[in-house]
Amino acid sequence: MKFWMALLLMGTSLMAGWGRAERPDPAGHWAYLPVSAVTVPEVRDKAWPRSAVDAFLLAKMEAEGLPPAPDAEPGDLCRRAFFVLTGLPPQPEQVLAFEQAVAKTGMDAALAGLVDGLLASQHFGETWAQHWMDVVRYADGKGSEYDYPISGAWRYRDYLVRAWNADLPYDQFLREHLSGDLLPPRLVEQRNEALLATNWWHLGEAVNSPVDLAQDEAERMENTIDTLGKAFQGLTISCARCHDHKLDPVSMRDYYALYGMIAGSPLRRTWANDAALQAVADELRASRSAFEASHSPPAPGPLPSLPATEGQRVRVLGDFAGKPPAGWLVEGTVDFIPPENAIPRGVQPGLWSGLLSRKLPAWLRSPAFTIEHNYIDILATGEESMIQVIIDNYLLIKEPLYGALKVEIKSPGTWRWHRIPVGRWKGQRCVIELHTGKTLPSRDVLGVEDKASSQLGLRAVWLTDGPAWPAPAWDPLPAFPRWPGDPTLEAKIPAAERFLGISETEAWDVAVMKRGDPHKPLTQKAARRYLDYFPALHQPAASGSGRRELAEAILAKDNPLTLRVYINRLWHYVFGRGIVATTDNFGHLGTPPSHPAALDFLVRQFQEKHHLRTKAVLRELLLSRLWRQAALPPPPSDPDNKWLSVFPLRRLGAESIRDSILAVSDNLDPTLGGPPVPVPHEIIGELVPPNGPVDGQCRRSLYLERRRNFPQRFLAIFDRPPPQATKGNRDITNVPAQALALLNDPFVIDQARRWGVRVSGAPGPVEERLGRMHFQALGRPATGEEKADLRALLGDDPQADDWALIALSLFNQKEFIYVH
Amino acid sequence: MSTNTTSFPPWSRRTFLQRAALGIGGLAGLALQTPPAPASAHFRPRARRVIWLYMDGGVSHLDSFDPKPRLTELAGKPFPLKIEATQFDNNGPVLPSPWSFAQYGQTGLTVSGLFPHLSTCADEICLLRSMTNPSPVHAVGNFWMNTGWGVAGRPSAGSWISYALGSANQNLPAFVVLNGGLLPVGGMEIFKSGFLPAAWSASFVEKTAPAFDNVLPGLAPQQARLLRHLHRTDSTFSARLGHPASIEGAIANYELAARLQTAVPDLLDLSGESAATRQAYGLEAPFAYTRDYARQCLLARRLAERDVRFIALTMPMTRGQDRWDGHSGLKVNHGENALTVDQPIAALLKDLRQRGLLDDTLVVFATEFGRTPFTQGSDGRDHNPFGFSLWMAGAGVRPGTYGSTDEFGYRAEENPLTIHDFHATLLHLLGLDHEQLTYHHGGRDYRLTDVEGSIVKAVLA
Repeated sequence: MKFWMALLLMGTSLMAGWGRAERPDPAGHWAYLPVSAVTVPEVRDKAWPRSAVDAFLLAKMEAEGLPPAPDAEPGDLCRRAFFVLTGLPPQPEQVLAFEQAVAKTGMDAALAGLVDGLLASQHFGETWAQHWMDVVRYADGKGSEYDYPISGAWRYRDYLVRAWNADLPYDQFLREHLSGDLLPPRLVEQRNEALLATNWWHLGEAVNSPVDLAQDEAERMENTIDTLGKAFQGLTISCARCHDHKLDPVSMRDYYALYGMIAGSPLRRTWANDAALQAVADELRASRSAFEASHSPPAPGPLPSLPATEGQRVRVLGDFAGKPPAGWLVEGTVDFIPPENAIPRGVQPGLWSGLLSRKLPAWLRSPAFTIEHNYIDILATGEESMIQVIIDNYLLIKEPLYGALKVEIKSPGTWRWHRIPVGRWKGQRCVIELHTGKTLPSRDVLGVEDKASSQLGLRAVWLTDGPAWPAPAWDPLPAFPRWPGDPTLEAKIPAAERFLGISETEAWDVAVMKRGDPHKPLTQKAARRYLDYFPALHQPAASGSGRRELAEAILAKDNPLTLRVYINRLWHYVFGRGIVATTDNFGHLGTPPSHPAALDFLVRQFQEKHHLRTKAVLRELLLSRLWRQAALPPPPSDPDNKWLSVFPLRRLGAESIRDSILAVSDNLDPTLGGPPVPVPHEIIGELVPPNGPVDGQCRRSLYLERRRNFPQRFLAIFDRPPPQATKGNRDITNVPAQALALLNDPFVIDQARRWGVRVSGAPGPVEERLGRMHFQALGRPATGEEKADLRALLGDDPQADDWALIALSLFNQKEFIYVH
Repeated sequence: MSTNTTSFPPWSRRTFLQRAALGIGGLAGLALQTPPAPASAHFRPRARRVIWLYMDGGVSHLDSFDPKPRLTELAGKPFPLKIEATQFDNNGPVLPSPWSFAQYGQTGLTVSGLFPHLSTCADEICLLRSMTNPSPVHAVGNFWMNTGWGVAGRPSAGSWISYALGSANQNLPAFVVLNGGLLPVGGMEIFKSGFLPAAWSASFVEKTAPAFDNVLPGLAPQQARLLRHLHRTDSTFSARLGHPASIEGAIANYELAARLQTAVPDLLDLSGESAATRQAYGLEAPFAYTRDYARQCLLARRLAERDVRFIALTMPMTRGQDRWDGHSGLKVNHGENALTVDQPIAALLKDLRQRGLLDDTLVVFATEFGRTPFTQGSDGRDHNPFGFSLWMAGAGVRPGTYGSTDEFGYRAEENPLTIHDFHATLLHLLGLDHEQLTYHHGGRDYRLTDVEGSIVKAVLA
């Protein structure tokens, strides 16, 4: 019980509302106990269950004296399955086909066929990617002042779509998220998917021009650790920033252990398709080798000298004449030119990018170091390339305070010392990055514009205090026949698919910060490792950040949280409420599980039978008898439907409502992936994003740009959460703004008009067209009374506007936005 | 149902069924029911509602309400105190105020030449000269001042108050932002309900139609027909599922939506305002932005009359001026911003007083921070969160001046106030105990005042 001793000794300040309550013993909390081996319970009604899950749930119902609800109608089940698995409504033909299959082969077989088909649909990945975007607080902008765009984040979104469609095993998915940069590349169409996953680390909010970078990093870190803890472990770890967690076994030391890992994982201004680029680079290299083989190399000249440093305080962070210096990370296409290669290649010794082709990008990152000098001096040449200094992982580098931390290299053919003053940040951590391509003038945090003329030559990176160095006066290289390049091959180079990933440094343990204040470090350092409470799981990081070890601790077979949290998320999205209702908090303040044995059973099965494949779990849940129940009112003895003796009625999510409007009116553009579509807004002011079309180009909602300061209003009204922190369990509000949006929002009106115009011009009897619209919108044919009602609403001699009113009325029916 | 399912306003099922029985067709006639009883205050409130005049960008206290003769003495000299990090790190010498100050009213309130109209309301004003903000960054500072925390995600003060006290008007939202056109840095989230139910987020009233998002003025015959149709089909659907509360609530929302549409034209119609009132507010002022803000202030009074709980006003987009953010050209920047708001605010105070509304309305003139006593560049001031001014007027506050900054106006000196103190006092005036007003979210109870804040008793009447 060392943890509690420590907690009592630390001294505490109690947060609001917690009172001075006794602290529960973590050992007694269900979520921290190992996943148990459970046996499927006996039930009285042996004919009812279709799967083991059914037996667990039915046993509870029988114990509570609740009979399960009868099966829902096939048509309702079809619509339900479509929405759960693809977020879209079925077409009338699909409903009819399913009903026929049920009649022909029976419900079990027909449902299995339907579910398998939907799991194989490309729309499956879109919908489940969208769920995960809530979990990792996905955004295309950093929020706060100027809402700096995070360009390339959409490539991570598309990674998610592919990952779900490919049924990536959860351990792989999680490893890629935490440490995809440290895994062997997982290439899909020559894209490194593993690296793409690390983009989620950068999706938090960030502040423009904070005056105190250490404080700012502490704030950013709190959000990152909060997301990490909730998303993967269902723990509110960030509560331990200022004091040990009051209720769960998370200490400040744990918090700062994670802090060290993340702080020691700097940015990586990278691209996903390096394999494709390298394939062309290899061809170019072969062409060059062939040329050079026919010209015998001349005697090398001496290594061009660097200024004398006697009497000066100089730390050489990198000397690039010949081989990569220790601790530097180099990506892309570079040549290290030793003196013997200088004359054949026609460049002075150093690291070079752009020799094979100026279109091939390169990126370099220094080892992390603590700033102790006044200046960073960099001896470089080239053009359309940049130097950026990243202090405390702060990426929003802009004037007025930070503009000098970004320097463009624009001296082709001339070596220059570039001096960056960093004296005011002494004592703070920093990395230097150099990359080809110019940064965009916008405030984009990734913001590299690849150029066909990028070149970078780098000789030295020094940390210094003294006067500026004289420009080198090196002898020009003698003439020599040199490879002229290969324009034909060069034309094959694809564009770099850029995004912001993370990288690894020789990291360090950070000090625990008194009350979370980075300016009040305690003497105690937090060794980088997983939570102390689970000693069997954590291995301290031997070297590097420790993210690799963290991923393994989270994925360890004995970790009681990881898979429970994940399976519970799946359950939540299928049934509308998790076995643990608080999907992101499995701690003492979370709700206790309604069916702990069923949860553990599913976890075991996920591990042992399904090999951590998500689709198998979803298939099992959707083929259960439980899921087939009709959406009747909950029994009086269980008004909250805790025992799931009826199917829980629920409103569609924001995206599904918008996507359904597009789908039923035949306007949906089903294209998969790609850059985000700007959203319409009326905000004026500095640097607002482009104003998007009202119809969002008829793309699914997950493809609409998600800038923090410019929420898509229609989606926000229907509770799409602002991307602040993990939100696995969305609010479901019921407010007049929703009625107003469906009645009057320009998007809805526009879709209703288009649908109205189309139906108005279509052939066939009026009643038939009305019936078809009804079926498309609600997934079932209209009753006689409904037909009469629609006919009356349409009026005599209907024009396009009248048909649009029918469309609008269908969008506004509650049945349109509720699944039952 | 999950605990985060809510409806707005808190309808009882019985009320709904009574209303449903009337049928949607009765809507156009708008027979109003008794408003749902608002949630109760913790003790007797002094104010029923708040008008929140948000001066985005950082009003210079040194040029408005906190004169510093020392700055005139040291004009052009190096600033004698240690300077904390500033936003632009382009700090120059001491800059005296280009405006002269005089004392007004029985309290002797000191006001600069920036606010000639407001100075005639001196005896309404309770000036706090010792405010502080933890952050010198706009977005962070705005979040602090509006939500009591420096990052997005916490509920706005207006949301907390609406949540606590409920809506007093059935036809209008409880929390309304009259958008002048310049959304404060940090965006809409500053006025959102955060983790509180979405019903308590601000509704924005824009200058251009539709004034309220998705609200058409009135109820067109076609829409009325549509609503009748929907009521029939939805009632059948609801009955089929056994009248679930969520569906019935969603049906009721259409009724509320229709009532809002019916109420809005009357709210926005200023034609009934007298020529004297229009004149007083500045609706005919020569400066276009004064006219904009005059309309906002007049609408604020009309919302107050309709018992809307929290009425926030953002700044109009004055030409070329980056709100109150006078990093350079302070004289033009503050001159034009003051010209925009001075006359309308003074007229609002007098109008509210004359109509008896100031007895239960609290007017707050707030900004995220003040400005530095030394220059930025040659003729601007940088952000100063260490000491600045804001004022309140009306229900429950004692006119006069509270607190002070040091002789340079750099730091709060006498009775320094945190934003938590200010919010605690604000809630107190509304009859709410800031320690009792909590909301459970993400594993803990939250307050507007986090874990701090003391009521400033000295300013209570």
